[in-house]
Amino acid sequence: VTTFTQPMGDFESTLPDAGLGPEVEIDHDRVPLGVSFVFGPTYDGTVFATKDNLLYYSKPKQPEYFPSLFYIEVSTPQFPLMTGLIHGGQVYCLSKRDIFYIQGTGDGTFLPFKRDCRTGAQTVLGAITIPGKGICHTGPDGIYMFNASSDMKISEQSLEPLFRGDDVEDMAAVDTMADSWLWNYKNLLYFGYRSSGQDAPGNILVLNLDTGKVAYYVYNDGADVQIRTITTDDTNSRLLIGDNTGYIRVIESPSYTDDSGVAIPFDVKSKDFLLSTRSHFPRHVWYDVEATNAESVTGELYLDGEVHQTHTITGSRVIRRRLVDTGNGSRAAVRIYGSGPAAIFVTEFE
Amino acid sequence: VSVIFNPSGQLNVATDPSDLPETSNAPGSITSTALRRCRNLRLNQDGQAITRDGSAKLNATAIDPDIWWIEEQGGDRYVFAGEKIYVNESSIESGLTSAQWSSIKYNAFNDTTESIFATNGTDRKRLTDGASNEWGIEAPTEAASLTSGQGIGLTGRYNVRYTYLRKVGETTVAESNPSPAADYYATLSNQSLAGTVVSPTDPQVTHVRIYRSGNNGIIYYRDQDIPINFYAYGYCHAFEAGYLTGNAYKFTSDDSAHSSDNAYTWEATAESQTGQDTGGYGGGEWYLTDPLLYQEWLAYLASIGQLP
Repeated sequence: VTTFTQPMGDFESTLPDAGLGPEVEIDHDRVPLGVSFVFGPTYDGTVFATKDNLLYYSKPKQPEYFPSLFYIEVSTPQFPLMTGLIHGGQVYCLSKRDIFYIQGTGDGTFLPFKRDCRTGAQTVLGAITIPGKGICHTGPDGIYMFNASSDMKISEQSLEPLFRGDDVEDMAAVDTMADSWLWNYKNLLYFGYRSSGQDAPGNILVLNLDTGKVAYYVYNDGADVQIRTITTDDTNSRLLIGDNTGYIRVIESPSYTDDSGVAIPFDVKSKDFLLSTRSHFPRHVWYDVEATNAESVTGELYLDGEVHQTHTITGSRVIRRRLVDTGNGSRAAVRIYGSGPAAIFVTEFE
Repeated sequence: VSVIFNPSGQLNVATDPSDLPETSNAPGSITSTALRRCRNLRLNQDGQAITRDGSAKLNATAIDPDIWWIEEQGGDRYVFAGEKIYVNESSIESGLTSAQWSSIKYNAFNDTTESIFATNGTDRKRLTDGASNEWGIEAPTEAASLTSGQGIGLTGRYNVRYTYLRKVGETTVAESNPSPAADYYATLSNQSLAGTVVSPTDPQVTHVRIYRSGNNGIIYYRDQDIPINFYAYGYCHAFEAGYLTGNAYKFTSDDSAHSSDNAYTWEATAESQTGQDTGGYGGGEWYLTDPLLYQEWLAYLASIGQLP
């Protein structure tokens, strides 16, 4: 017996015309080449893709079908779309200069509306939705918060010198916004930026969205960790970053009290206290610091911008009267710095 | 004067340090929570500044340092770095374009498995359960070749377009656009329409779907799905087809060099041996590769009178 096989490419049809099934669909195009950013889906299952100044979208609930005519022109060719997001159930696209609200619920109804805004987004991670507050986005000169009625530069009031290129209080100035990123994790907004000499953002501003308090973080395990991208690991409830040396790291983790084995340096400094009619003549300082597990903690008293007295702080909230050398100044300030786990409560001098 | 600093207020480097807020709750006492420096301290508990939480590397060995994007799904980390895609820092695909990636997590309405859909403008990937495939299926570019088959039933002029499918179970989750129609309709007279399509090279494709026109029609309707892992029956006589049902399995391997099939692994092995000819395994040109032995062989044949 001779056996032979026919490749699967062969077919034979004997179905009568009436027995044939549905008509072939010709709108199963793939997501276009040249797409710079994808986001979604929206509530109806539409996935969006930005390409140049165009916004493509998929068939609802079918993310593998992007019909070739399913797109709208949103921006102008000079200002291609940088990113997009869904805020309050609505689609928004951002160029470097503008924010566009995409009205509509599906093909044939999508329509872009340019919103009154001061800037757009500088990178693909340059905008993020903050539920209840608005769209936080990056401008060339700072961080903005857009909502339906305003577009406020939220970095203006307390962080402006950094965006003007000034290093301030050991905080490195913003060198470029070109690879900066924004991320929201829990009730914190993270903004990463690159300072001079860095290949990727190595400085992080952390804004508490409820209290408005800002902190400045630098990760360092022997060298500054420069963060190229960031994401949330929802399964394990943690924040992940990819650095510029090829490592994936978990950050902001209560499981760790150091940065890959390197104690975390910290530093805090008070305002310059002035007295109305006379100079300060400090004699004593009291520090309330939990330093049991810290590698080192140092307290400093500044007079007129110069270190006047230094104290080593140890133990668990050991509050003692610490003597201060004779001296005076019109401006007095307190600084506490060190490394390792510590909690700084109150410092008093008189 | 008692001056109290409680480091739990607002960091402000835009205001002159002496103009930061302070309060005087009692005579001879000044209190301020304002900060002009706050490095690596978290302020989420009133009345104290605490060293921020730490960090740790998840991979012991560095991957490509150009990390463009990370997407977490089901606890697995999909990392798009350089020209590669990693799952939990193990490479699953390489040779891609190093450019900014972005991705979403979603699934088609009739697919219960969520995938990551990612693109960098050049590469378009669908990542599911640690495997990388194309995002979408490219349409076949070549038309089917048509002829008349051995069956009966169709009379008239017919044409075909075909698509590539990805099925999950019996459900069609993704389908490509259709191929072009054949240049010429097949003319049949109570015959079947037979043809050949181009087999898919995309490994995610599970089936080829045939769309056939009606008689003299220009609209194409679904005819049949052909699983790519199965084969049409082979038989010697047409009547045998009537006794065959179910899927056919191919149990031989193509031997294109000899226009035949190998049913056993030793057949392919035999043909691959050094010194064997390229036309089968029934001899070999050993006399070309070992002329000295050939001379000895000729001498032996002459010695026994067998040399013609």
